[in-house]
Amino acid sequence: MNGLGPWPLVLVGAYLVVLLAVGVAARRARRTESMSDFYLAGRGLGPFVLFATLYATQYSGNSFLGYPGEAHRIGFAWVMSVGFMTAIIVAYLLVAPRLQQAASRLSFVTPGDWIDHRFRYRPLTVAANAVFVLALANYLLAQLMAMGHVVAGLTGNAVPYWVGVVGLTAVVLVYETLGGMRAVAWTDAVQGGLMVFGLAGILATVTPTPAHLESITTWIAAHDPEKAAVPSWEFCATWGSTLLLIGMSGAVYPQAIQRIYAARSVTALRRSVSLMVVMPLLTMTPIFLIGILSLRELAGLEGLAADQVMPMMLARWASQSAWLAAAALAVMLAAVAAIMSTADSVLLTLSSILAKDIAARTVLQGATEHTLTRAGKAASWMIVAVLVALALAPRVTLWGLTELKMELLVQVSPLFVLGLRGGRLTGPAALTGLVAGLGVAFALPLTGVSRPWGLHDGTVGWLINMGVCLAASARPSR
Amino acid sequence: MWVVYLVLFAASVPWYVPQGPPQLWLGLPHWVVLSLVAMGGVAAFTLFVVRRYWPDIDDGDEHAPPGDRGR
Repeated sequence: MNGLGPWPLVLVGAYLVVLLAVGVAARRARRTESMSDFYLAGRGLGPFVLFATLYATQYSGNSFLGYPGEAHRIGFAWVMSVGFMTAIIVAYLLVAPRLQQAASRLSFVTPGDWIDHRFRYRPLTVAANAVFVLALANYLLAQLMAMGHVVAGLTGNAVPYWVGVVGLTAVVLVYETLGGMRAVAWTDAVQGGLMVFGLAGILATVTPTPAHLESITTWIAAHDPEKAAVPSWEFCATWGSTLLLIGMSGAVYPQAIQRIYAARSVTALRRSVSLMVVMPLLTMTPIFLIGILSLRELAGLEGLAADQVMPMMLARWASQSAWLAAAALAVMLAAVAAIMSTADSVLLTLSSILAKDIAARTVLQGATEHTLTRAGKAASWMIVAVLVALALAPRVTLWGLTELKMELLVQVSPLFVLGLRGGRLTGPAALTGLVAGLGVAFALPLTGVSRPWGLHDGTVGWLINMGVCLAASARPSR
Repeated sequence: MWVVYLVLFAASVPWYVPQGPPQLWLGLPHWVVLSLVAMGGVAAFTLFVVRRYWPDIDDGDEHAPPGDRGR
């Protein structure tokens, strides 16, 4: 199997057994049947587990599969991935400190709880939750596709794409249904450890000498000069727009917000964020370099096929020596871990929004927390069934799905960034901004002026959204 | 603080590098190295900010809707 023998299947199988065992242990560790125990692990996450779950959740299937593929498609300019992953942590500073304090005092469970508390305007909460559900479903779809790609790529299609999608999804559903956030955070600790170990493998494998890099850069400049040239002004505008879009939307990922709520204390959250700050450089640089190395090794890959760059490169290295085979296996497991750890977090958050923000206010009014939690689990199984069906016939690249999700999510960021500042922003004004931002983001592609000056449509919408919110905040109070 | 971030992020995007074939630094195009150095600066500055400015105290309920304040 691509020079790796049966080892990928053996290791992935053992890894899945460990995850299921962690799910069972988390189920036994539950203290109550409350939503905060199931969805936030009883608000007891310490700095190490919090860091591991933030890390494993932020770095996903996109990071390990989509991002090398995008580096292959656009070349050296993909170094921007280091920047936008750092931008998320910086934007997090706008939100996390105040939100953590409010959450611990007021027992928030979902992102909608904060919006409800701050604005007390039901239409705004409904609109924000609709954005969260759409963005999360999109994000989950990307993870399911990545599961199929990584399994098919690493086994040379001996295990087909659909088996990867269905099999890994089933395992995530089982351990998450058993143990909720506790299972997700504990498995994230396992998965985060594997990712660090795998990245050490990548670093040991691909850290090329300056002479090696020079020969590759020279080859790229000769055969595909656009991928090594200084980016144009328009591309730089897209680069800046990407930093803004991903920084602002990444900071308000619903699953990231729930990790703020789940922190045991301010100190735990602060320590885990301090560790997260250095991870973009340590994580994205080697992944970026793999995409660059693949330009010469796998010349000619384009479009959707480029999402297979990582498994194809691993398979090539594995055939060269025992050491490279071991490093490739470590990276392969890390890729599986990254995908599953993001999928489980997204699914759990989706379940909590469906149960607490939607079912509890409509069809299950007055239900106990135990009933709501069960309803959330059932709803998440149904959504996964639909998404698996979509993932079996992929039509968009992994990066394409990421951009779509970010352009949606970024429109919610003013509710947190400005709302937490304590200004005069009201619910109706925030809703006007949100609707205007979404309207512009989706109308621009239809009018034929998509991406004006290289800016994402979502960024243009966000600027208008922020403008509306800031103008409303600046109004003198009556 | 946000001005420092603005400068560092602006430095990470190579809009100021003249167009043309890249020079090679450490085997990479020079503008790639400049971007990575700027990101290193952002990471170092953020570590400083988190340690220095992240409040460790409860700052009261200042998040209530405007109409509720002062009640």
